[in-house]
Amino acid sequence: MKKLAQFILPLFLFVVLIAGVGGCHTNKLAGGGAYTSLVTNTVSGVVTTNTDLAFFVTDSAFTGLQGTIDGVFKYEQDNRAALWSISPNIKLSLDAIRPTASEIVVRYLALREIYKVSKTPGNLTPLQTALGDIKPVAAKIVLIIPNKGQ
Amino acid sequence: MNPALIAAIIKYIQLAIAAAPEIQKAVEWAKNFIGDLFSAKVISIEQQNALFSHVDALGTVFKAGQALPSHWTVEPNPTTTTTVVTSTTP
Repeated sequence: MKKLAQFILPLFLFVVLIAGVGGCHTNKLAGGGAYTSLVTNTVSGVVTTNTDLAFFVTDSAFTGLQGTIDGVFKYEQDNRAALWSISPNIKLSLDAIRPTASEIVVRYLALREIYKVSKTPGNLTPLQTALGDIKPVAAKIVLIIPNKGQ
Repeated sequence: MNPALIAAIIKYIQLAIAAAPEIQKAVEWAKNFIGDLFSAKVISIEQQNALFSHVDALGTVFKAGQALPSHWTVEPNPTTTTTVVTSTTP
């Protein structure tokens, strides 16, 4: 449990760090990847590559946060009896936040489908809002086991 | 971003993976991605596609109206059983 706690906080820190980077590096995505698209100038015929770094960073940050939460939830489930004997509050505290975490993850992924169809700033913003919602939830979750649910 | 801080986090994540391999997959993205994003390297087509597919796959699992993975749901609390020993005197 101590090893898990030691790991989770730096990982969370890292994800928060990269989530704040978006937009700082404009030519970091290779053309032809899933987060790029080709645009043809109808006048000159020149083809350029559009990179959606904001989407890439958002998805990356989401993956880190969702993965962190998933790891804690799974660890608790796999070690439930032992953790319950240490403190029932561990499971109870995670149970109190499981519905919220689930709702946000489902929401992010649904909004992502909308953005994939129509990649506008107006559709990216709700995605980033959902990402912002999941950050404090993840921050709370990673501390539950080390603090024994207190 | 402080490169030294990033390098320290990468190293810590690598140590943590060695200590807790059950969460290796969850942090593999972080480990592989962070070095490329903060270096001169370009995020390759393969890396982009892998991340995109990974999140797509999450979208098939976490869907409104669909059963969530059990560890994301509230399950019954562990039950503690108390053994009662009775003795009967002949």
